[in-house]
Amino acid sequence: MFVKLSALIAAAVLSFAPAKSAVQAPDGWLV
Amino acid sequence: MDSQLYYRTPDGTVKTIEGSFVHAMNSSFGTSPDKVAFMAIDQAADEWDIFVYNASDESIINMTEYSGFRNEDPKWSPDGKSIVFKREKWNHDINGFKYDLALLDVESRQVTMLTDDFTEEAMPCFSCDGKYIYCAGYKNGIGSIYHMDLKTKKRSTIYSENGVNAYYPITFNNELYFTKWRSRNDHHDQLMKFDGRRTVGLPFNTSQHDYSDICPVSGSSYIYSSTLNGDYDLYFFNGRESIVLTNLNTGKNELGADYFALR
Repeated sequence: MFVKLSALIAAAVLSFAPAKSAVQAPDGWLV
Repeated sequence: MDSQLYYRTPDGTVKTIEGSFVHAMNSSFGTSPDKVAFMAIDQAADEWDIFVYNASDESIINMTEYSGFRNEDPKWSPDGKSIVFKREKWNHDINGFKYDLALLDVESRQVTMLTDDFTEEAMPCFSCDGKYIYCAGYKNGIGSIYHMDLKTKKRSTIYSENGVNAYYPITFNNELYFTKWRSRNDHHDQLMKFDGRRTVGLPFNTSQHDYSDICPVSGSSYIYSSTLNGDYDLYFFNGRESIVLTNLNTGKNELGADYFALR
């Protein structure tokens, strides 16, 4: 029961987590 | 004014470029990420000078030491042999400063003046083929974008709008980028792109915020400075959307950056 509840909570957290931006900062040098 | 220069390598390491100077700013990468030109006040000479930082041995050379002039806005030539910059001299005839463009030979440190007139030229940069210099030219405090043939010294206007300040030209992939006010009544800075025929605003510009100091990463992706969150911070636009470069921003204004791609 404990395992199932944890899984449920994890699933709920995931579904409410904001979508991460797909934009990645460019590799390279910056000055 | 209280600026510092930060150097970030692809592994995320950030170091401060420090030496016997203060207010380091307006950096420009040469033909390799090891070579960086920038302007700062030399503490001994008490003048703005052009410096070159060599990241491979962390040496810093003052290229215009004790020139007696104010030297600003350095940008490398595409072959890495020279640096174009703005030189400010006191002129007794006008009882004021005269602003011209100058070319520094990196090996010999010889300086050749490119202009000698009473128009203020500023923020020069080379065309991608190295044959032309783009710059901002000021009349009555309003900047326009010009370019000059290095061989003939012939000048032509690239962008001029009545009552609208245009400045800070940057070249990349044979295209020109610059900053300008939205209009003569709206002085928010916008980033523009000129492809040789048309001038268009970049897609991330919004009203009510300032956008400037672009570093093209590709023909459609850019690092730039913006006041979207109050002070100037660095952002990256990937062609569709922008992110704030949180790990590069500090409590200060982040401006005048340059980018060198990992190849």
